[in-house]
Amino acid sequence: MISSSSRIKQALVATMRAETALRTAVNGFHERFAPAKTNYPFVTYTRVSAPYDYDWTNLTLRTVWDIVVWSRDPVEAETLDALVSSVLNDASLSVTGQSTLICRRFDDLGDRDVDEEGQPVYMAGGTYHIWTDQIIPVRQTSSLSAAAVLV
Amino acid sequence: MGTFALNAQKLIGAIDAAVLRAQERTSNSMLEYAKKAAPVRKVFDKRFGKRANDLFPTFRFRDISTGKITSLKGDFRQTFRERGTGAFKLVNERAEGFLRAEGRRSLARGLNVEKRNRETGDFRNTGGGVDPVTGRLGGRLRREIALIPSFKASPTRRVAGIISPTPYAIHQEFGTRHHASQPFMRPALHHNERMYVANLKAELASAHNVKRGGRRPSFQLDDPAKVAQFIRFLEGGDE
Repeated sequence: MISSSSRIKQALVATMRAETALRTAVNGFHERFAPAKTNYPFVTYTRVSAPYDYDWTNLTLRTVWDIVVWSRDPVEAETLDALVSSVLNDASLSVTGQSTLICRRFDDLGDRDVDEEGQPVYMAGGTYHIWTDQIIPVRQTSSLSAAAVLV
Repeated sequence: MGTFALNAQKLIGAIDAAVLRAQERTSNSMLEYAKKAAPVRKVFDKRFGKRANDLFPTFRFRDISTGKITSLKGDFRQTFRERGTGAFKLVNERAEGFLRAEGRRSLARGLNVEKRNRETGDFRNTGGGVDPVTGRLGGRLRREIALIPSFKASPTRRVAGIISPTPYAIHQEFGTRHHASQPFMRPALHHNERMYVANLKAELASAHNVKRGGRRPSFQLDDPAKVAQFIRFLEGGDE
């Protein structure tokens, strides 16, 4: 049974959580969207795409992720984004059933938004490519025959 | 060297045509993927727990000249074309009651756009919340994704792609503080980038094998001396 990109997601979050400085600096890691009452700063991560690339024996998952820090302070957002980048760029993720080929930042993201209270909110983040490889399990069958001669 | 230059130009032309065909095939595939992946607004009614489109499958219009109410399902463009948009008045009062205010506004916008286009003779919907072809709410983002046909950006560079010109497309792609991102353009690219390489290989192979005027191209890339000449030719150092 092949393992999907959800294993990569688990490893991605575990890697970010394992960094104490990052974990204590933000108010959680949220998938795609954080609830309105979440305190700043926080991190959101989104799986952009995860195409499967098969060859005869292996499966390569070429996943793309947006990882963004949200903060009321643009400087804080940039600083925490740099911390996320230092944790993830070229990291070797422990993905169950898969081996990491690359985990690298390929692009920067940044924007300014306004929250429910009318206060400015700043996002700073990046797009990361995480490629993993796994062996495609092959079903093997064997047959056994036995003969006996009774005397 | 005149003969060589002529052959090289033929070869460059064949390669360019192959790149164009590969880009067109890939960008068409990207367009199809992006249209499938683009999110469509869902207008729900809390009382019924159904989608608005399920409650509102038909537009009902009053024919102003006769006072008769007509139901126009699906593609009612032909009817408008024959009678003119001014001949009808929308009378979906009961059905409108099922829709949220947002849906009603979208409906009005969609019909206004249809009327404006009628004046210019163009019936394509360029905006609004209602698709006049299907009569369904939502789908503007998906409908407006368009192909950028392959073109030469420079003498040595050919570009093709897709574009989503809808103003809120960037918010769907990357998300905001108020809603999660729903990427649809980048996945279209990522799912087709390897396909482009495969298309390019196939097109180049067919370009190489094509016979022109019953003869194979006299310029063969497996001759190292001529390859070196060809590279110099491309760099502009040898004519």
